[in-house]
Amino acid sequence: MTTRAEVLVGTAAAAPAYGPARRPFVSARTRELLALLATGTLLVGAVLFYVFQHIQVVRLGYEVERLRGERSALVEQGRALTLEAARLRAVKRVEEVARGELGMVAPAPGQIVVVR
Amino acid sequence: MRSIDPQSAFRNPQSVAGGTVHRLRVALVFVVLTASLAVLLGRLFTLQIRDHRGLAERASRQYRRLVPLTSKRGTITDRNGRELAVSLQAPSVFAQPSAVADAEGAAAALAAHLPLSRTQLLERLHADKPFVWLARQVEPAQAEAVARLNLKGIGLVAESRRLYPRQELAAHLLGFVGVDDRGLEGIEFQYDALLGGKPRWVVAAQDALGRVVFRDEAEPTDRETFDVVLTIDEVIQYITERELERAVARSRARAGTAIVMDPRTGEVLALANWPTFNPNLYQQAPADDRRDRAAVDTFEPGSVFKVILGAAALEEGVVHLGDRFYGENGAIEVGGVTIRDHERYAWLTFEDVLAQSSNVGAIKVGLRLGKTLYYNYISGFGFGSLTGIDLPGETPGLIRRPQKWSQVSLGALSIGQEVSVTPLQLLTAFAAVANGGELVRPFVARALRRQDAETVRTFGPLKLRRVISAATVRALAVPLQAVVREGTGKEAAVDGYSVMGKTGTAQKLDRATGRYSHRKVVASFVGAVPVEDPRLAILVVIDEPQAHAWGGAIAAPTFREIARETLKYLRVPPSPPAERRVASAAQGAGVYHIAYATRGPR
Repeated sequence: MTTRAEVLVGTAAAAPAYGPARRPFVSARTRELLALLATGTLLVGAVLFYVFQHIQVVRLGYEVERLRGERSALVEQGRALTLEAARLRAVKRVEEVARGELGMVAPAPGQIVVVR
Repeated sequence: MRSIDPQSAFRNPQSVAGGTVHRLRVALVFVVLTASLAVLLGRLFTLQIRDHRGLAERASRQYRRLVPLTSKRGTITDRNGRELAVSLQAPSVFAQPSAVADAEGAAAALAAHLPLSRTQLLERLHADKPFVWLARQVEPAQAEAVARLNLKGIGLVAESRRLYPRQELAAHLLGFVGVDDRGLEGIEFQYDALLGGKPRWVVAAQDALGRVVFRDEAEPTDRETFDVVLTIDEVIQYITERELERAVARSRARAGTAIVMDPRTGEVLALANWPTFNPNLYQQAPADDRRDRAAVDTFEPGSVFKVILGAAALEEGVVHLGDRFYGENGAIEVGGVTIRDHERYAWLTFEDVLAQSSNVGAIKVGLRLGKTLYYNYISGFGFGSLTGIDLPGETPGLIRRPQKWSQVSLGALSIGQEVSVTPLQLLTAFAAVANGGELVRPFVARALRRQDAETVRTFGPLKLRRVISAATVRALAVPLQAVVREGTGKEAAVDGYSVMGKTGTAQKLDRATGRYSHRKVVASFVGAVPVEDPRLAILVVIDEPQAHAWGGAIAAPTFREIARETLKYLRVPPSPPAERRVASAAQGAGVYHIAYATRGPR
């Protein structure tokens, strides 16, 4: 029975005699595997990138809506402050404060001098 | 060495059997995988190709929805940008009765925070409707309390609430807005389409929780809202309202109206009515208080109407300033009716007829003019027609055609009876006298602005027609100044300024007896200041004063106070000394040019 060793020896013996046998740095199979791996990595990477973009868009969509809400709230706050300022600046209120709290009076006709 | 056939080395029966099994396994796996792939591809084909449209529509219905764009109702400001009406978000509480788990508990909890009783809330929560309001536009603190309760079937939605920070100021002019954010009166109603815009929607994509993820950008359309800038000035409006309130209180009158206008342009600087109301609480105000008497109420003007008579008579040349009229000792009979003066006069100049408001003299002027000519001038000055002011509900008043006049009508119309006018009509007519003879359209909206403050449209003065010549105006100014200088309108004199005007005390018709009442009168004063360059035309009308019941006693001093404070505020320089003023009145203050301008919206 032929042993494995004898097969290997026979195989080696059948090899052309080019000199001492040199094994390639990267074998063909390895190159094939690497190529396959690279292709797979590229494909998976592309898919992941596509999904990542989609997720980013959705995330940014939420962010935009959140900022819209924040902006609306700030605009509303501005309006409320405008309203309060308008109420405080009302002429009737100003006169009441001027007369009641500050003791001011309207100038008498003779107190107004027109300078041309 | 014996050669070895590598192939034969494997032709081991046991190896051959193992190889076949291996190949069978590989083949089986291949078949299974291929079958699975085929199933997947088939499913993919079904979903993506065959059923694509239907499934896409179903998905779209789930994740797409319409989002309302809540654009705020436009702000109303005075001519200087001071806010008079502003909208804020106000939360409203609603319930979906079918979704409420424990109505009793919910009603008890909500009653502590909302302005409804437990019974009222329970009634609404048991309503056979998918949606009910519990409370509209509540305070933020109330909304927060409701939100904290976290009751199933109870929710909050933001609505727009209209607020008037100056309270009663210019209430009749502004009007008010109903719960659904639509204008119901005044400017709010007149410009509702521009203030409120129309509902806008954009398409948005939502996630499984209903949160919006994307939304389409809204296209700018003609549905946007605008801010309205009025012609009124907050300070002048306040002065007018304050003095009117004092006059009504002092005379214990039923009501009052005061209007301030720029006679050169027709801009209404102030429009005040008493009684008034707070538009923030309009539901609590009686309808009578909310009525804009200036544009809606009519009255028989009485002696102030003699201005129209005088203008017509001078324009037609039937009367000259130096003409004299016999006062018939204070009584004259017209068409079988005796009409009296308040004093017994003998001879009066035309100037005295107006200055002393002689009815006898006025009737004689009217008889000279004749009914056809007089009617033409009455309608030429705008009586019997709408002024065209941009406020709702204006009435045209009433003046009958000459063909329907009775024997006494010419006499009655000469003293301002048998004609009903609105305060706005009366002031607009007098403004034509003040500005040199041209009737202008009064208006209250000055400009429209986008909510980013960019002005998109301005409304300017609109000259309607020339009614009388500048020469007639100059002549008429002489007796009208005499009214204030030495006549019935002495209380209207403003220190340092030349004033022209006319008083009126018109008896009101007693509907019970069908006769003119001696107790119920309308006291009025209309005037312009300063005469040489009128900046203000002011009308004061006091309805049924119980004390100081005549125009010279209550309306004229109110005119004076409004004019004095307003002239001070506007920094209008005092008039030149009297001698130069009379000279300039005789030479003419000049023709006032009013440019044609864009018509405003109706």
